Amino acid sequence: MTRAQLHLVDTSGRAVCSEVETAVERSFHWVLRDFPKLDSAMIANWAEEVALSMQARVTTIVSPQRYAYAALKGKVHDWMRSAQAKEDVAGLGRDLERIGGLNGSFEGAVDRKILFEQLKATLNERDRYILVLLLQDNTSPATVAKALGTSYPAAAKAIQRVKERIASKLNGARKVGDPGQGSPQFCETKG
Amino acid sequence: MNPDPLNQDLMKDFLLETFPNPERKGCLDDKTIQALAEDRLPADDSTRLHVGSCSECYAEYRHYRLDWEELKVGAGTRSSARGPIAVAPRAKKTWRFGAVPVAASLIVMLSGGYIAFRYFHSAGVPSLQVASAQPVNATVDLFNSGTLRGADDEATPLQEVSLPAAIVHLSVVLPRFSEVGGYRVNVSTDKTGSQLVASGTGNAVEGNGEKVSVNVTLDLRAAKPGAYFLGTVRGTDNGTYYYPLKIN
Repeated sequence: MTRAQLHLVDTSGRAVCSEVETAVERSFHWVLRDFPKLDSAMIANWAEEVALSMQARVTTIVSPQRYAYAALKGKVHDWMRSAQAKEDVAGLGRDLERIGGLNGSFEGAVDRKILFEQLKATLNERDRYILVLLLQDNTSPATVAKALGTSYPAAAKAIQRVKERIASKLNGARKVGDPGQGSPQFCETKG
Repeated sequence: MNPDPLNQDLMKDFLLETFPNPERKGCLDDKTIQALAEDRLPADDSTRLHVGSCSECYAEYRHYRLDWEELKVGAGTRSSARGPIAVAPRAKKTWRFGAVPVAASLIVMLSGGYIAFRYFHSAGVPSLQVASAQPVNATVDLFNSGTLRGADDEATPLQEVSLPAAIVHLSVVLPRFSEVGGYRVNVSTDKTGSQLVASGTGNAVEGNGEKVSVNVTLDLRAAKPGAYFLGTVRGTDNGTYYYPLKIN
């Protein structure tokens, strides 16, 4: 497979400096990973714009990598917002939005927000870091014990506790994207 | 209970969306996040908890981790964890049967060439091993290491460093944008640095221009000729970078 190459030049057509080039290429790769359904050519175009503007102010940028990633992701979000804000048309445009992963479901977004807030209240900082490790397939208590500087049994117990807390919230929440099934929290009647 | 109650995509989105910190208050710097993602931070470093409480840092951490894992899987025996960046996801290599004999032939030819090269060159510099008891001055310039990685990882591999098996007064010019301060320079047989061959510490200072260099003394007399890793460990945050090293 050939690599996608970015044409990263400044306003004079000269190649941008290596720090900007590295940062933008890495960010391009990251954003492709974040938004796999978006057209890579479109992202490449934005990446080139980001590189151009970064090169113009390279001396003032503290962290080129951080800047490039935030800027490129911001461009994607801008595009998604504007695309979503367009008038709905039947046929090609709507299909493209669906394929591109745009979801206009207000109910789904609210449910998701509520679920995340509940999880946030349930999981403390340490639990969330264990979740980070679990999401990268470090499910071994030994790995978690090493990362947290605790004993093996304590790590195993902590993993179990995190899984139980998450499961309790997920099992009680409305399935996102399934508006037909009401959340128990919303259906409960007091008294 | 469901043995895997984690809805991975949902949990990932939870971490990516619930803790926005656009002003990056209290965030770790790039290098620390990368070191954390590549398992290079010490176990007792409590800053790691931050990634679970900051969506921006988690996003960066996740990408660094995935990059690192791709690098390990894609490159296999690539000599550095800081290898070049793949702009596009790597495609799985498909081997045809015809490629096997060609590869075998290449290996035989390259091995022969290497043996011949070693034979002729070792005859020309016998004093290197003889003089191993005498300290040897050496300079390693890593100034441009790691900054040209976006070009093409196949065409521009990381710079390999060569040192003699002797007591070496080593001056390491650190990569561009390196910070001044305390550094430890390790020579090890593995990238994790658990099998140290030699180690030295020094204070990195800014020299001419923007180059930052650190001077250390390494006793490499016990090291057998072969492939090693030269690691630089920054004292402030244990940020570690490795470079392929050949001891002659």
